[in-house]
Amino acid sequence: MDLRKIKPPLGLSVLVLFVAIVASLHLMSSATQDSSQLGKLYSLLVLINTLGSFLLLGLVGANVYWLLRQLKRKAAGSQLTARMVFLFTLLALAPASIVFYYSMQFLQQNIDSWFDVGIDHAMDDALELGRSALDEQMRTLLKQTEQVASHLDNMPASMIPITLSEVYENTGDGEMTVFNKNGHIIVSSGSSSDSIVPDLPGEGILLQLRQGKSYVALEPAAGSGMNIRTVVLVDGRDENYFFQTIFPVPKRLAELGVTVEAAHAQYKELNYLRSSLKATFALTLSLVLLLSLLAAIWVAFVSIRRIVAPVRRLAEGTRAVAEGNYEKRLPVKSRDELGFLVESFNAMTAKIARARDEAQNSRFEVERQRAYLETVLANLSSGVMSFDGHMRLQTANHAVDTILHAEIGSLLNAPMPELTNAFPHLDELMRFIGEHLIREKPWREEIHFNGTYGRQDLFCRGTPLFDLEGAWHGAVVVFDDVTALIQAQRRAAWGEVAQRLAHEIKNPLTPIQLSAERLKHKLSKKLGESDAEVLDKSTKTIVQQVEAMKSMVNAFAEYAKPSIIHLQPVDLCQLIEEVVALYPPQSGLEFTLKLEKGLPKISADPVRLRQVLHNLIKNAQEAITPGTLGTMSINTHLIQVSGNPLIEVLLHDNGPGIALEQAERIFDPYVTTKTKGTGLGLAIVKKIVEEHGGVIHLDQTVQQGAWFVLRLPVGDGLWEGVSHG
Amino acid sequence: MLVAAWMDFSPLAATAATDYGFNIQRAELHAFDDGKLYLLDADIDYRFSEPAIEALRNGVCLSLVLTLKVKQENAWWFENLVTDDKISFRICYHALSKLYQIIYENIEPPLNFVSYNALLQSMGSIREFPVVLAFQLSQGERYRASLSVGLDIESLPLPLRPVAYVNPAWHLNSPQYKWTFVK
Repeated sequence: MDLRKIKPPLGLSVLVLFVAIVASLHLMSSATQDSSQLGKLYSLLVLINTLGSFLLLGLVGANVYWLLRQLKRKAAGSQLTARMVFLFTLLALAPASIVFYYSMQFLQQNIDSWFDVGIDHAMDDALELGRSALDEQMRTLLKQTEQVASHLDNMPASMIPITLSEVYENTGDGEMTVFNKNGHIIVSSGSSSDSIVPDLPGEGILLQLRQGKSYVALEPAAGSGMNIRTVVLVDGRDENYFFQTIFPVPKRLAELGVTVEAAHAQYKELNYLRSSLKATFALTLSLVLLLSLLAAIWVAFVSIRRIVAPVRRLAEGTRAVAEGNYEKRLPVKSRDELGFLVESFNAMTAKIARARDEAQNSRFEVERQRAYLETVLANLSSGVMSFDGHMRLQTANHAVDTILHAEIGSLLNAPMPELTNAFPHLDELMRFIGEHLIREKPWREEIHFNGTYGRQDLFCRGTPLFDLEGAWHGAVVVFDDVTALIQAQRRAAWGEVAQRLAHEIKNPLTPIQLSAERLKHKLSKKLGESDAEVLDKSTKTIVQQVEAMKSMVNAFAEYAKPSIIHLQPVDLCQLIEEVVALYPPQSGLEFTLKLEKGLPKISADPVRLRQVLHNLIKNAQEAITPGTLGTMSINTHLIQVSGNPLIEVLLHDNGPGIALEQAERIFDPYVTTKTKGTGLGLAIVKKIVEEHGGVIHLDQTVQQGAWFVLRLPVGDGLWEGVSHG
Repeated sequence: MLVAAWMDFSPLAATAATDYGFNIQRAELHAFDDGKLYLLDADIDYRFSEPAIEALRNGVCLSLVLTLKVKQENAWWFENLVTDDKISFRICYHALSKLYQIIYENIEPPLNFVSYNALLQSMGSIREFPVVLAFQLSQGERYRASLSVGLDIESLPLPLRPVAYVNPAWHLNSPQYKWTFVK
């Protein structure tokens, strides 16, 4: 069974408590006001109410402790509870204290008003008056008793009863007793005594009598009457006797005396108990106040907790929502305004949760699209850059870095001038893009600029971006590096030329040579010596030039012919040493080698690579001014570009270098700065290097001599072998 | 019938060395009428505190209760007492007659004393006070008796009770006087 179902409701508990408190207080109040049957229960009631006060004090203390802990923890609703409890307590305490203060004042004054000095004196005087009235009776009775006693003096013991009997008949109602010092009764007569045995006086009275003093006293009798007891000493013949008379006070006088005595006793007792009475009333009143206040405060705590509970739950719910927990639902425990508020909160959180889910789904979709776009962009060979309305870089894919040889992607949100400052070699390109970006129409254009590794040709396309309102707010620039394409086209064109040369020029050369030799053979014998000499010289010249043209045509043919490469692992440093060994100092060049040890082998055709090195060395030889000692340094080392291992070979000579305007086309066929040579040396070098997947460029930043930078990739398997071994 | 009494020298029986307090100095039970009735003799030193005397002289009657318990010696604690008798009496001051009174319950008339000392003397000397035992005592058996006397605060006027409970001067109770006897 659910215990909560049989648990009494809080309202009933509070009602029962209040009824118990009011009943207990009422009983105590009644007991305080009169000494009826409830008076016997007064102490018990005080104890019960005191225990009740302690119980309530404990409950209030526990609630205060709970509240303080809540406040310390800054629990939701604790401050509101504290404020309401404080207010409630103040509202309860203030009027109660005022009522208590004035009640106490009234009580004190009221009790004091009961007593008065005049009444005090009046009561004492009334008592004294009573005593005086009775004293007369007592004196008369004592006189009579002493007279009787004088008759009994020296009377034989046997005569005493007779004499006493006569006296008793004359005196009427009363009791007369004669007894000796041992308490032995000689004679007793009378009917006033309630007991069969006469009531003899105590030792104190007898002692007084032995000293010769008669005794007379007023004594309260059983019931509401009063007696006058007289005792006198009788001189006996053999022994002394005591003669005692007990006579009732006249009825009217006795009644008056009892009334005065009772009133005096009650007044005196009340007067004596005045301070105690005040204290008792104050105690009762204090207990009433304390119990009422404590009960009120406790009920205030309970009620306020109930009132604040929905607010606290709302605060907790709001905090949960603020922390992102939109699944929080609050129980609706009432149908009042607070219940409506809780329901509204639940509806709000449900809507927020739905909106959050939708936003999250949208965000996921956007992120997915973004990731997709980034993946696409990252894998695009075209460089993609986007700029916002303030010409700040927003997007730059990996291809941008690769094409421009600059880490543009690390400068997102940077304005264009900052990009230029970071990468000065892109100044020309950025200026060009900047000028075109502000156009509000798509554009496409080819641009040439000098990059880190020489001239670069880019094919750019720009698209302006517009917001929903149609306002321009940036642009996207897509560009492709067409340097290689243009060079390939150029090479293809040169190949075509070479083939035509081979076809159109080489074929007539042999008949020309043969015709010249035939002319010489036919005519040399027919001509004179001088003419024959001229003929011989001319035909020789023709043959030599034809040979020269043949070798030139062959060289072109060789350049244009598709290469056949036999790849194999090659130790580049060893290859360089072997090639350099073929050039003794007499060759006019002195080499300085700085070859890094332990470099991985590359996958290459050693024959073709030797040709590359020979061409570069010959290029240097030919560039050096005759008569001067040429020097050439060759350095090798391993580098990483975009995570790919490359072996970089730097070749530097001390020749005159290459002019800037020629540097852009130095690797084109028939471009040379020298008087000798075919102009194909560096073109062949570039072709072989590119066939090996490498790159070569002229470092134009160096002023002295020519700096060739050759980079060849390390084969995957070969690299792993090195890295692991 | 020989009744032997032994003084119990327990600490409780020792006289309190205070200005006020009650102390039972001697107590005996005498068999009467073949053991059908027992008579109590006791000497009690009553020393009332100043507040109690002041209350008495201002018309407040003080109730005293003598408690007599008799139990068979070596009996289990749960065995019935032979008797658990309470003797109540009040002492009052009669202003009109200037007498002190001892008023026993159901016994009239009251005993009157001309002085406070005579009152104390009479109260402190109990002679042959009849006690009816609930059960008959067995011949030759040893019994343990205890006597104590105290002021009954609950019989005080209502306004005095809270003060009396709080003020030690109103806590007038004698230690238990214990003795054993053989029937």
